[in-house]
Amino acid sequence: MSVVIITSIIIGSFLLANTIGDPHVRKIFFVTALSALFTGMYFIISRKKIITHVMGFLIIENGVFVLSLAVGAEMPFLVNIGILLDIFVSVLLLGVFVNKIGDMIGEQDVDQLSSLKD
Amino acid sequence: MIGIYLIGAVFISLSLFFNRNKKLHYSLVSLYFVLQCTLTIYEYVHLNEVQLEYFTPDALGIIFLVTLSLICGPALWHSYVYFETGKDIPRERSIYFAAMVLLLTALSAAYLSNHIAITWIFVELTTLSSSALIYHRRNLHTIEGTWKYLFVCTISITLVFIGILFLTLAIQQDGIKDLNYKVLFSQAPTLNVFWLKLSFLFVFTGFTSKASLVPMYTAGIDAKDKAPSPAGALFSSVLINMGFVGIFRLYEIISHTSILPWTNQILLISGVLSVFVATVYMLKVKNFKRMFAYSSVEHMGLIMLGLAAGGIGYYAAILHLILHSFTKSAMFFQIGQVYRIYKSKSVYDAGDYFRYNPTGSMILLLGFFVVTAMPPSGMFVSEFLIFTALFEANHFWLLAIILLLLTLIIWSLGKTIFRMIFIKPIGFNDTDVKKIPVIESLSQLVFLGFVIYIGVNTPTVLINLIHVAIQNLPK
Repeated sequence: MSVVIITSIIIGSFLLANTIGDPHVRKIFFVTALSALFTGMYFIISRKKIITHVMGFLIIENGVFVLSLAVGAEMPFLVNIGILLDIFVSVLLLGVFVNKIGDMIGEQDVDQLSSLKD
Repeated sequence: MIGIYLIGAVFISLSLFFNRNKKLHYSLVSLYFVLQCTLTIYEYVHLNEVQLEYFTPDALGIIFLVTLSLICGPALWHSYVYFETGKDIPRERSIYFAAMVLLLTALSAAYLSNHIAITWIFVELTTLSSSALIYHRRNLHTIEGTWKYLFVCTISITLVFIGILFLTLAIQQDGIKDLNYKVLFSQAPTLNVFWLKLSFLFVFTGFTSKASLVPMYTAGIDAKDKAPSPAGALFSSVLINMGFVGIFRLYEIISHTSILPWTNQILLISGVLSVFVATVYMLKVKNFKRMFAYSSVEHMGLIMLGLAAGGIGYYAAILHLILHSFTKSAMFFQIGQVYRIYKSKSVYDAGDYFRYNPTGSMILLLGFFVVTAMPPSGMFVSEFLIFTALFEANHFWLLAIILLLLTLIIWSLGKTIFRMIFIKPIGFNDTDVKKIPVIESLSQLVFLGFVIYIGVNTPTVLINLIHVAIQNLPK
């Protein structure tokens, strides 16, 4: 099922990218980026395990990197360093909290994280 | 100065993290407070001067920087009270204060930055530091809140980054592109409309997680509920301002392009939905801390409506945001005291508050009038101006719906607060209730009085600053 959905995501991104006729966009990177973004989103929505959510986030993050290649955006050096540091720390923190959740509730399932509601 | 400030603040934060000594902790925190005040005064004197290439204290940044400095003093002091009256474990205290200093620093820098990517970096930093604050109590509930907040916010901030990448496409040039707000603003008419639309959608959706708006408001609610009240006060005042600043800076650029009406539609939809969602939850919610968190969603919705309506609405939106910061932080400080007496946040467990803490209950009562924008509250003035703007923009049906929803909000908020103050709680054992000193309520009283004073007699300095902040928007 997932294979079918992800294949259709990739085909959909191809079609979507073809409708955008912008000379500033490198099409092949753009297709890869879009499909990575949607695949990551799909992973986060459909899976239950917390570690898979983090993997979905990493897929999105990779998609963003490819997207920055696609649009040919270059930030100043200092800005790049800041962005790199931020992403590094955020992934590190996500990892730390995955471990903490694992310590507290053994099985890492998001269904158990649903006590906060109104 | 901003360079000294950033280095100093990071140094203070690190030394807070690596030390366990109580006296050293509080002297470092006071040192930070002095540093923060110095920065604010310095930036106010050097208005519109580019510093370190990436920071410009413009009117909008200064307004919110002053708000932050005014709120951060009481917040740090209430944190001190929080540790004095509750569990005081040196390791937890050091992490708490280090994270709070980092959060305040990141917010100040984000207000002042003049480059959209620098704003992004510091907003991401606020997410990381606030996750440490939410996790403070270290139980199953807080870890759930932290996880949701961290995950949702990181994803939203990634969306903001995608928006920034689309913005570079909108510039339609090859090579290195300058994403300075000023440059973008001067190039606004030449920007590609299609990419700008996409960019706004992504940036707006991303920043709603900070600004407590539909669609990404959910994580913020859990965060405000689970963090200690002084941290909750910061989340529901200065962090929300951060989200607004992020949206406003891009809106300023868009206001000079042809897609302004389309953008206003987006803001209207988000604003109305926020007020609607807040009403629905406030009628139902039984946890008074969450109730005030939802009240922030409502006020942010109104502010977006003011921004979308235009005209006098721009002025009203910023005024409303400033007043909202002071009111909400005062209410959250007060909720900390309520929680200390009842050890519970449920409406059913709290009651007869007037007997245990007369000053505190007077503040709750006054806060109720201020937060629901009844006269003499300053929020009455700004809310009235927002409604005037909506009326002038011919949104009659929208106005009717909003007024109806606001009535429901006033009813449900009143029901909760009057119940907490006057009705006797069931099964509450009041043998070991400690008396709360009046001095701990002083900062709330000052804030609420300040809100009322601004409503009656807005200082000329503030009016001028707000007018300078919105001068780039169409009349």
